[in-house]
Amino acid sequence: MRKTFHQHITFVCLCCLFFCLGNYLVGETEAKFSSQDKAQSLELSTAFVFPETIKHLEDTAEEIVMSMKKNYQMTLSNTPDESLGELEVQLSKIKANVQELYIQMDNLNTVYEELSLYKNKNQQDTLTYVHEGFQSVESLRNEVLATIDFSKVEAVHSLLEFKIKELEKMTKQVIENDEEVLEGSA
Amino acid sequence: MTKKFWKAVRRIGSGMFIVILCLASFVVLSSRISGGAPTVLGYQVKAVLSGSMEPTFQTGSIIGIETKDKHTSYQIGDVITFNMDGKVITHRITDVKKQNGQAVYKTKGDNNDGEDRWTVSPQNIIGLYKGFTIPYVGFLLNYSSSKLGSALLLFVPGLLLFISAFISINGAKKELEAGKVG
Repeated sequence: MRKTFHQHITFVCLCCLFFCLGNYLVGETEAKFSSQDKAQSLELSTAFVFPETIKHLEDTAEEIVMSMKKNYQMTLSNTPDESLGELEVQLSKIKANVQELYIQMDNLNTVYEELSLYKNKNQQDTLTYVHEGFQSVESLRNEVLATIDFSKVEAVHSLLEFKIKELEKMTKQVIENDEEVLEGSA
Repeated sequence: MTKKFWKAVRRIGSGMFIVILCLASFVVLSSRISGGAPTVLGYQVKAVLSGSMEPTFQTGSIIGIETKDKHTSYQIGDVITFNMDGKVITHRITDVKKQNGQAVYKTKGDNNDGEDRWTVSPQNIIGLYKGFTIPYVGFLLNYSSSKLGSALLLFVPGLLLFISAFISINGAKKELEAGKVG
C-alpha cells in the first residue's frame, strides 16, 4: 500500500518536472494577425474651377443684361419733339447710354468667353455646374442680341442729331430773316 | 499472466518516461549552455499563441518546425517560421521576389485578409512547418509558464514529497515501536 502511494507520488513529481522542462523545450511562435488593405494607386485631382466662380460669373451676366435692357429702353423712349436745348440734353444722354451699352456688351462678351473657356476644359462634362452656368449665360447673351438692336439706337442718335441740325438751321434762318426785316425798315 | 503483462507494460512505460525526461533535460541543458533554441533531431517545437494560421493549425496547439539553414530555398505555399521585429512568426509564403540577387519572401497568415507588410530574407527564417501539430498542449504549457502555473509546479511536488517523507518516517517509527514491544 505504502509502496504504491510512493510510486504515485513519484509519478506526479516526474510529470511536474516534465512540464517544467516542456516550458524550456517548447518555444513560442505567433501566427500574427494583420488586417490591412492593399495600397491601391489613388488619383487625386482638384476642380479647375469652383462652383462659386461660375455662380459669380452668372450673377455678373444677369446684372449686365438687366442694366443693358434698362439703358436700351431709356434710349428708345426719348421723344425727339422737343426744343433745341432739350434735344441737346437728350442727345448727350443718348450718347452716354450708347457708350454704356457698348461697354456692357463688351463686358457680357468677356463673361461669356470666360465661361466658354471653362466649358472647353470640361469637355467630358464631369463638372455639371460649369455646363449649366455656360448655358445660362449663353441664353442671356442670345436674349440680349435678339432684344437690343444697336442699329435702332444709332438711328435714334442720328435722328436726334438731324433734328438738332434742322432746328439750328431754322433758328439761323429766322434770325437772318429778322435781321433783313430790320435792315429794310431802317 | 495478465497481471505480469500489465506489470511489464508499466515498467516499460515508466522506463521510457524516464528516458524521455532525461533526454529532455539534456536537450534543455545543452541549449541553455549553447544559447540557442532547443532542437530535437533537427526539429524545434513551438506553441502557437494566436490564430492567423487557422485552420492550418489552431491557437494553443504546438507545432514542429524543421530547422533549415539560410541557403535553403522555399516555394510559394510553404509555411515558414521566421524572426521579425523581435518576434517569432509562422506564416505562409505567398510570393518569392529577388532583392539584391537573393530571394526574399512575401508572407500571409491563412486567416488574414492581406499580405504582411514585410518581406522575409533567408537569414531570418528559422525553419519549415512540416504538418506536425498537437492541439491544446500549447495552452497547458502557456499556463504552466505563468506565475501561478510555475508556483503550482513547484509547490505540488514539494507538498507530495513532504507527505511521502512524513508517511515514511511515521511508518518507520511505528515499526521501531512494534519491535521494542516485541
